[in-house]
This record gives sequence, C-alpha cells and structure tokens, in this order.
Amino acid sequence: MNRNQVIKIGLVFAAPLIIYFLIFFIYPIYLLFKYSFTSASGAFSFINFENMIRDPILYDSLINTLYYFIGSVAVQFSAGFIAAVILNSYTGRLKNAFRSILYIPLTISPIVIALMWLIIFNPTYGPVDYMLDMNLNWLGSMNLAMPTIILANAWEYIPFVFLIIYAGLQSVPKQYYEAASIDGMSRFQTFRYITLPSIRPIMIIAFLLNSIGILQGFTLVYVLTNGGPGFSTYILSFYIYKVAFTYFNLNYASALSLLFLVIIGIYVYAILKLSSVEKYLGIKK
Amino acid sequence: MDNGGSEGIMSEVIVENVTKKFGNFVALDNVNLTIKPKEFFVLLGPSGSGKTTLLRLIAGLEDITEGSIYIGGKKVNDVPPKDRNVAMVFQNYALYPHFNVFDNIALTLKVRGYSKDAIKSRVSEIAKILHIEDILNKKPRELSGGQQQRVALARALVREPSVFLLDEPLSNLDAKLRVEARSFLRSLQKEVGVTTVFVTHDQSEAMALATTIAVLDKGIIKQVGDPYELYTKPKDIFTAGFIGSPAMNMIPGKLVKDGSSWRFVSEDFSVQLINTEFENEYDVILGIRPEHITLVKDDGINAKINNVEPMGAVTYLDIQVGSVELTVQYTGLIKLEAGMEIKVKFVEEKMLFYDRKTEKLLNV
Repeated sequence: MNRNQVIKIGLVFAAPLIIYFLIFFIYPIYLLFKYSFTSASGAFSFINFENMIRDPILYDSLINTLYYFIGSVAVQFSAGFIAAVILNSYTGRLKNAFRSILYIPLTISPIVIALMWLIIFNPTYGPVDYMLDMNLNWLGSMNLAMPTIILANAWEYIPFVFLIIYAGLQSVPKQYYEAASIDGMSRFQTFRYITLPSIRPIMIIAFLLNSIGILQGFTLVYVLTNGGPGFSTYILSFYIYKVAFTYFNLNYASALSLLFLVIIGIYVYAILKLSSVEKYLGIKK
Repeated sequence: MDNGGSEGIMSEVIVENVTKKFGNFVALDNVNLTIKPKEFFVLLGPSGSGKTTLLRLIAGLEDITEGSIYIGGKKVNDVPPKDRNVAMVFQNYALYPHFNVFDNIALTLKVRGYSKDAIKSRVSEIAKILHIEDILNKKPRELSGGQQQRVALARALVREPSVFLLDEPLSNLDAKLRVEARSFLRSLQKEVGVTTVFVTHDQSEAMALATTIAVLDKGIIKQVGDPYELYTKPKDIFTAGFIGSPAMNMIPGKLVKDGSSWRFVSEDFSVQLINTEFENEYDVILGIRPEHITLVKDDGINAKINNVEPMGAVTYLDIQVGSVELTVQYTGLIKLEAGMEIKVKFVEEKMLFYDRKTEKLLNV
C-alpha cells in the first residue's frame, strides 16, 4: 500500500466522525457567522453589531450574567470543594452513603430540577415561605429573583464540582501522605503542601468546566422567572433565546451568540494563562 | 543541627513481641528484634514475608496489633510518625512532584520550624554529601532514577533522624547503578552514623550492606546474625536456601551410624563422615554450598556434567548425581564439557545437616 492508499482508507474510517462534525459543528458555526453579518434585507452588513451598542437589554443581560456568574461560581466552587475535602478526610461508615446522596442532583434532568424549585419557591403554596412564615415572593422580587436562581443552580451543580475534586483528591498517591507524615507535617501543612498542589490541575479543570456550565445556564431562568421580574434575570443565554425564538430575529441572535462565544473564549484563555495549567498537565514545559 | 542532633542519632530500636494482622491475615507473628545504635540492619525476605510491614511499623505508618516498639528507649506504639524522628526512603522515593529538589529536601525542615538560613545551609550541606548540588532547581520528573534516589536520601537525612528506614531503595535502579549505589550507601551510613533499617529481598544486597541481617519468612524471624554467620551457619533450611547465589545444594538422605562413625546416605551415594557427631539417626537434608564441592581424580562420587558456565573468575558446573542435580563452583576457568563424567567430593566441615521434620540445623 502506498501513502495515498493509506490516507484514503484512513479517510473512509474517519468519515462518520468527519461527516457528523461537518453537519453538526462546522456548518452551524458557518451559519452563525453568516447570519451575524446579515442585515434584515439579507445583505452583508455590520448592522447587528452596531445594534448591540444601542441595546439596553443587552447591557442589562451582560450585567445580570456577571452577577449570576460570579455568584454561582463562588457558591458552587467553594461548596463543592469544601464538600470534597470533608468527605475525603471522613473515614466513617457512611462515606459511601454521603457520596451517593451528593451525586443525586447530577442524575436529575435540569427541567425537573427547575420545576422542583418552582414549587419550592411558589408564593402561594411553596414550603419555603410556609416554613419561614413569610411571604417573600422569591421569584417575583427584583432583589430576590437572581439570588434564588443562583441558589437553585448551586443545588444542581455543587455535586459536579464535588465529583471532580473528590476524584482528584482520591487520586493523590497515598505515599505522598506517608512521606509527609514522616517529614513531620501537620494536617494543615499536609493539606497545603501536598494535597493542594497535587489537585491544582484538576481544580482548574473543575473551575473551567463549572464556569462554562454556569454560563450556559438557561433552564432555570426559563422555568423559574422567564427573565423577570422586568429584565432582572435576563442572562445572556436567555436573552439570545428570546431574540431568536420570541422576536424571531435570527441574525441578531446569531451576532449575540458570537459575542457570547468570544466572551467565553477570552475567559477560558485567561484562566488557562493565569493558572499556567498547561505546565501542570504536561502540555507545555 | 538543633532538634535532637547527635543524641538522636544514637537511637536503638527494640521490637518486642510484635504481631501485625491485616484482618485475619497475620503479616508478622511475634517478632522480636534489637537494632543497635549506628547499626546497618537489613530485613531480608521474599515478597510477602512481612519485612516492609515491619519497617512501616517502626516508621509508624501502620498500627501495631500486639507488642511494642521502642525507639531510643521510648515506647512509640502511639507516637505518630512525625514525632518519632524517623526518616524513610520509599521504594519509589515518593518525591513531591510539584516541588523542586531543594524544596523536597527543605520542606521537612521548614515544617519543623527551622530558620531560612539554617534550612539553606543544611540543604546545601546534605546536597554536597550526596552530589546533587547542581540539580536543586529541577523537578523530580526531570531526574534520572539514580538522582531521584539521592534526593530521597537527602530528604531523609537532612534533619538528622534517630532512625533511618529504607524500603528497597535500590530496586528501581539498573544493575550497574545498583552496585554503585550500594557501596555509596554503605559509606554514607558510616559517615552519618545513623541507625539504619534497610528492607530488601536481594540477599546479595543484604550481604554487601548489613552489619546484621534478620531473615524473615511468612511473618516469622528465621534468623538474626551477621552476614558471615548467616552464610556459614544458616540455622534452618529456609535461610540456607535463601542466602547465597547460586543457592546451596540440598540433598535428601539419612544419617546412619556406621560402627563408631557416621555416614550420610542418599538414594544415589553415601559419604563417610569422620569428624561429625550426632545424637540420633535422622532423616535429613544435606546442605552443601557450590564452592564446597570439589573435583577429584579418584575416590569420589560419580557425576555427569549437565552444563558448564564459565564466568571468568569462577566456573559453575551443573552436575547430575543419580537423581539430584547439584551446582558446583570451581575457582578459575576449567576446560570441561557437558556430558563428561567426573568425580566430586564434599568438604566435610562445610556440610550442613537439617532435620527433615523440624527443618532445623543439626550440626553443633
């Protein structure tokens, strides 16, 4: 077999993936770019991007997204991390039970979770108001709607962070801990000098995946508040949905998606650079 | 230089009636040992003999099921590893991968509250002894096996431990490096003068390094002694077979009283014993080392050569005597070929007789 034949045979085997990739990734991305630069009349144009500058809902959405994002990351990452560390050092009999319980939210469909929280925070018959003996109208209040969404979102994704970091903790070789104990480290010192550096790469991965997952959040807003009250829980993903499927402005929605893509891209790049995670993963020396 | 210093280095380790169980499995069965100060003590045994477990008990990495361990006269059963002032080199070194060599060595001083200057001078001092000054800025993964081993030694020795524990530290090195590291380790231990417990399954390593060897099998101490004693007078069949390479020849037979003297009678031959006395007639196993079988012209046991291995300084012969195959070590080179018929003789004072029932040595 000569080289050309090898390449041809290789292509045949790779074809299913290549075709799948072309249809479901490359073509949509091409369309995204095409629509983004198309005006209402169908001509090539920058009008969608010019419109962004004059779009107050976009500004609101961006600010809301920032609020939602920082709140969610802070809560989810720290809670997931702490849960993982606690369970990792807990050696009791209930370890597996606790771990299983923590997994549960991951196995439930997001829409079900959203509906569950809708019931929990229902102003007329929701158990939260009942137990607090108050009528706070969580989801209908300008101040409380976003924190409520952050809370519901955290319930859903803390297990995700927990799972990854717990796996990372479990994979730290036992021998390092033994060496540390002989070297004279206290528990805290062991955590600081052995555990943390060992799981640093996996923490960064968890942080990134968690961030991206949060930015893609949509279901909770859609089900719990539908963006309201007012525009107070409009986050970017929800706004894009609205533009595309309520106002049927596909071109503008595409341009917004492109903006979203760029924001996520810059964010991920910045995290990777700042954390120099490539070094730890052995991608770069 | 503070922190226990020279007084710590003189530490004696006493293992008293120690039993260690993992579930129902008995890893160590009523072990008693005294490891003298400054001694190079080797725990020797095949895998699964419990030697590493014993080391880990001394280190405090495992809990003792029964019995006590004393370090420097102090009972340490409930003392955590960090307060025992022991240092340990792990089989795969367990260097912290995210720290460079300097930090790997320095961390133990740092957490014990040494000042920055003291740390710096201690680390550079130990780095000099171990010839690793030029790799202090490297990460463990950038080092060769030999360098990693030296770093592990440096990390262990930098704070002048009372007891220095090594768990097969040479097994990850290639053959040439292992021999080098062996003599280096021996002289290092002499120089530092720290009580050392060294675990290995390699009997030649044990012989080369130890001042005292304890042979372990299935959690039981078989024999404790210096290399000379273990080689010349192994007290039981296990130790006899385990120590020495090529292994001691083992020939089943009987001790029979023949008039006023004794005979060793096997299926295929018998040997008149002139200077050896026994209490009773026994079913025995005769142990004879390859170098204690000599080639003779006449008046010997008939044998056929199966294989010849000329090594240079010595020649190994595999010979067939009836149903048993024996190894003979001939000093120097000899022109012999497989298939040739020869005669051999055993050096009587080197013949060791083991009771086949108790497997214990009968010679006095």
